[in-house]
Formats: sequence, structure tokens, C-alpha cells
Amino acid sequence: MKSKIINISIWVFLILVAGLSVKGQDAEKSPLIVTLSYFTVNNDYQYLKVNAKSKVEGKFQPAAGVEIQLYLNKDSTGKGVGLIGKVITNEKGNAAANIPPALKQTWDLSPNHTFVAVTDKSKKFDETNTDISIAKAKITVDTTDDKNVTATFTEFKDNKWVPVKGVDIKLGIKRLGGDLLINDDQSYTTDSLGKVKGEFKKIGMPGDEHGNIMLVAKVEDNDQYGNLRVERSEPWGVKFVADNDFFHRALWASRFNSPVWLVVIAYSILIAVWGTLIYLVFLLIKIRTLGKQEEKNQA
Amino acid sequence: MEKISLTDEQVVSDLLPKKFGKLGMVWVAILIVFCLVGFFAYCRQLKYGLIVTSMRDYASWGIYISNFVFFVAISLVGSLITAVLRLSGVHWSTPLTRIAEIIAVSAITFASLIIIVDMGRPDRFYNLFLYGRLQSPIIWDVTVIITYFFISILLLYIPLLPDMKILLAGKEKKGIYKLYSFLGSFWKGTHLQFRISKRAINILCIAIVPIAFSIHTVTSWLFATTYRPGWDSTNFGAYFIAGAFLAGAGAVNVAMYVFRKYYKLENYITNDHFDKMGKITVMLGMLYLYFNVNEYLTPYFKMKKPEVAFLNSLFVGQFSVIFWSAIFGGMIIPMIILLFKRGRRPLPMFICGIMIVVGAWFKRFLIVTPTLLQPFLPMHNVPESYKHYFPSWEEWSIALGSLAGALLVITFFARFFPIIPIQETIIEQHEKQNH
Repeated sequence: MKSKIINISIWVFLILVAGLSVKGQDAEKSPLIVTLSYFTVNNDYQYLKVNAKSKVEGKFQPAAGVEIQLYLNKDSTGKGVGLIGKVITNEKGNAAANIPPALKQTWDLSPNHTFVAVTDKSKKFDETNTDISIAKAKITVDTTDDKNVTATFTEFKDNKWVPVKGVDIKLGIKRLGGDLLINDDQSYTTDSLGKVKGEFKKIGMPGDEHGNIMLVAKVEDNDQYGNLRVERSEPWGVKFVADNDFFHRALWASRFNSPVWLVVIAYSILIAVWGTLIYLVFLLIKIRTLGKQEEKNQA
Repeated sequence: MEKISLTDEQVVSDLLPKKFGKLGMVWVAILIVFCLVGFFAYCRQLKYGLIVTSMRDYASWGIYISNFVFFVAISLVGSLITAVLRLSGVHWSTPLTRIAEIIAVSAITFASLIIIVDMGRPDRFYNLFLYGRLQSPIIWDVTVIITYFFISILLLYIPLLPDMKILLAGKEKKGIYKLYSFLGSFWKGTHLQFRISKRAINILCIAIVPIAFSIHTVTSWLFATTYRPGWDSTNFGAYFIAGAFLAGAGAVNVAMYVFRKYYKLENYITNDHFDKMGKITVMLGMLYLYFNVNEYLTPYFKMKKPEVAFLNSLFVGQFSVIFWSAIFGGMIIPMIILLFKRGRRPLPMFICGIMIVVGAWFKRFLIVTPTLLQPFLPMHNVPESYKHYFPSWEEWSIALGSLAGALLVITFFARFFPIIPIQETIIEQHEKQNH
């Protein structure tokens, strides 16, 4: 009997330990993965995009509502300095921040920078510290009358802009849903002068009311330079003529633009019917006048 | 003053308006109570908005619009009895003309009111006139309702003028006689006055027919110009007119019985009148049944996928009881009864009239609501209450209040004005005697 009680006690103890162990595993925090991307638009506007995700049941899921502190540069201990801002990720785990004007002096000081993304420890995640380094670069776009596009990629080095060889550049035109390549070439690699050339072959693309379309030269996900994008307007498209029926006479137009046939028919009917009714009122008045006259005659 | 023979005096004495008896007082009291409850419910609706109704995003037209279409339908009877029969040279309908016209006037008045009740912000009603688009069927409807109201008033008023003289005969201008005096003291019964009046009535009878057809056609277009299951029909104008004729004839049958019974008018509204009205009702019932077959059988035969849910809801689904009751109770059974001579006697005619009118009201409900609850695109992510429609007590009260209001107008008219044209009856009797 005594040994039975001991056996049961051991089993109960083991089950409790196993249960606690499982609970402990449940409480383990999944690692938060933060990704930083650097963007520059038209060589004068820089911003950062940050994405946070974590693994849930073996699959990466966006981490929403995570507060991330973004810094420009870091000190010798790896801690971020020069706060760009604090952002909170959306339901897709994304957030973005511009580099504020207050950091212009720091930005101008060096041709290379490191961006740091820091998250604090929370109930769901441990603290993280991610960084990326970029070198300042720019793209310039030139065009010729025969619709050739030249893009030049340069890096800021030793206080001057130096052409960079071997960078992949895409040339395209900006459309509503994304960018359309200017011809069949997916991308071009810069030569020793940092230049790429492409021929614009998308003839007949709809432009704005003046026929302007937006040429785009871009570098995407470059390890050293990040994402660069330059846009330039050229009158190489077809002029867009707005075909707005709203201002024409139609059944769906505004009240001052009723179709002529409707106006004629409707007002003709109205005039005919109400003309008849007014005539009837006139007859009624006549009956009244006759009655009054009769009354006078009798008097 | 013209000479009134003894027979004429008898006619005048029979047909002059009479004070309410006990039954009349009770009837008026009941109607007033309904009106007051309806008014209270409308005050609540004004205070809290249309949220007090059961109308939501899908069933955005409920019994107010059903009621509106019903009133518009009933109002057609004015043109049927007064204009169509008069223009056809039918004289037996003379005692029924004023009954038909007052039904038309009261129905069109409450049709106009109920459409305002359906508006969430009636204080913005004037915007319809300020900013309305000529391309909108709603503007056509508003225009044609105003026109029909005006012409119905004229058709009620002008033939009433000779009776004003009889009403005023030898009476002091006090109380109601002041109103009679204002309305018709200028009628002296001269030859010229009669000639002008006859001309005006003939013009009115011709004019009211196309206008009455327009009002029903345009009302049907409020539905038919909208692409929805059940409404997408080129048949709708004719279908509405046929239904309106039947509903109006049913209403006249009921009114004929009630006035004859209450005011003891057996010498004026005879069994022969019931017999003839019964035959007309059967003909109109067959016409409307024919349009119903067209309206439902061909879509049922095709069973186009987007319309399956709508048709099933009518034939075998949630509206099937109302649908088949309206078809059988409001059309087929009364028609069968009225096919027999015994069925065209006053009491069966009254019962059939009630069945037709009640069936007509529910038929309008079936035109409006099931379509709205079966849209082409399925209802997703909406509260459960949006998928069904059963009127709130406020809606019922307002609808019943408006029906009571229409009956009250007819009742008070019969109290103060002759419900059967006195002068015309006298003239017709003289003509009969001369022949």
C-alpha cells in the first residue's frame, strides 16, 4: 500500500513537471526579425522603411504594433545615436520614417552612414538591434531628341561625385500600377563612366494633357547604396484628352445637361397639360363672372 | 330659382348630406384614433429618424412605398368611372361618379403625404424642386402627381357646382353654408353656365385619361428603370395600370355598398349598378391576371440564376403565403364569385371588393419588398436584421393612419356634400320621364 502511494506520488510529480515544462515552452518568446531599407527619391529626399515579422507556428507573420526606434549612425558600442524617430508597425508589420531636417548636419558630415533600428523588450518579443550601412549615391538622367535615355550613377567620395561601375539600373516609365520598362531590357549595368543607355520604345503611351510621361531610373535593393529612384518628365506620350460625359447632355448628366429630346418632350407635355388646366380655370372664372352678372341683373 | 317638382324634392331630400348617426360617430372616432396614433408614430420618426422603422440598407423601401403605390393605384378609379365611362356614353355610372372622384382625390392626397413620410429629412423636400433633375423618374412622378391631384380636384369640383345651389337653397350663410357659399354661390344655373360647365367637364374627362395613365406608368417606372430582380420588366407600366383599375374598381364596390346601406340609397345605387360594376370588375380582374401571368410565368420558365432566389421567395419561400393569398384572395376567387349573377349582388360585391382592395395592398408590398431583399449581389458582412424586413409598430401605425386619413376625407366629404350628384340625377330622371 505504501509503495502504491509512493508510485502515484511520483507519477503526479512527473505529470506536474511535464505540464509546467510545456507551459514554460508556451511562454517562450518568438524572435522578432526587423528589416531596414533605405530609399532616396530624386536625389533629395531620403527615408527609411522598416518591416517587423516573427515566426508563429512555423510561419513568418507580420508583427503589428511594434514600436521601433530609428537612429542615424551608432556609437562604438553599437548603440544608435541621432534619433530619426519612433515608428509603430501597421498590420502588415511595416512602418516608415523620413530623415528629419534636424539631422541634416550629421547627414552632410559623412558620405557613409549606418541606420540602426532598435526595439525594446516587450511581453511578446525580446529586444532587437538591427543596422544597415549605406554610401551616399545619386542618379542623373539625360535624354536626347531621338528618345534615348542615359542614366549616370555616381557615389559621393572624397568630397566629390565619382562614377560607379557595375551597378544595375532599371529604366522605365511611371504608370498607375507600377513602373513599365522603356524597352525589353530588364536592367542595364553601369560602365566605367557610371553610365547606362537605353532606347525608349514604348511609343504611344498615354501621357498627361500635354503628353508628358514620367521617365524613371532606379536602383533596387543594392547592398551598398540601398534603393535610389529618379524621375524625369518628357513629352514622349500621347496627349490625354478627357472624355467626360458628365458635362455633355445625357440622361446621367447634371440637371442643366438634360438631353434636348427629353427637355422638348417633357416641357411640351407640361405646357400642353397645364395649358389645358389653366384654360379650365379660366372657364371656371367665366362661370363665376356669369353668376355674378346674373346676380346683379336679378338685383 | 328653378322649379323643383315633387319627385325632384324627393331626390333632393334623399341625396342631401345627412348628419352622422351613432354608427357614423363611432366610425369617425375610430378613424380619428388611428390617425392620431399614426401622427404620434410619425412624430417619433421625426424625432429619432428613420431608425425607428425596420428599413435598413437593403430593404430601404418598405410599407410606406407599398402604401404610396396602393394609393396611386386606388386613385385611378376617378378616371375610370368618371372619364372612361362618361366618354363611352355610359349613363348608368352617374350615381357613382362622385364616389369615384372623392376616392381619387383622397387617395392621391395621401399618396403625396406618404411619400413625404418616407423621407428621412422631410424639411429638405423643397430641394427636390430646387435641384431636381429632369432625367429622374422621381421628378416625373412628383410632377404627374401634382397634375393629377389638381385635375382630380377640378373634376370633383366643377360637377359639384349645380349641387351647391341646391345645398344653399333658402339657407342662411352660417357655418358650413359659408363654405358652400364660397364654393358655389355664383352658380345660378343659367344656360350659359351649364354649357361652359359641360364643356369644362368634357375637356377634363379627356385630359384625365392620359394623365391617369401617366401617373401609373411613371410610378411603375420608379421600379422598372432600376435594374433589380422582379423590377427589370418592360411590362411594368401596363401591369401597374391594369392593377390600379382593379384596385380602384374594388374600392368603388366597397364604397357603393357602404353609402347605399348607410344613407339608404337603394333607389339610386341599385342592384343593376352592382351587377354592371361586377362585370367591369371581372373584366379588369382578368386583365390584371393576364399581366400577372406575363409578369411571373416567363421569368419562372427561364429561372435566370440571379432571379432564382427572388422567384423562390415569392412562390415557395418567405413571401409565398402573402403572394398566393394576394393572387387567389385578391384576384381569382373574387373573379369567380363575380362571374355569377348572384355573386354580383350588393353583399357579395362588398365582400369581393374588400378582398380585392386588401389583396391589392399586399400585392404592392410584394412588388416593393421581396425584390429589395434579393439583390443581385449577395449580402455579405451585414447584421442579420438587414436581411429581413418586418415593419416596426411605427410603420404600421403611420400606414394605417394614412389609410384611416383617406377614409376620413371620404367620410367628411359625404357628411357635407352630396355623395350622389343631385342635379345630374334630377336631369336624368326628367330625361327618362320624357322618353
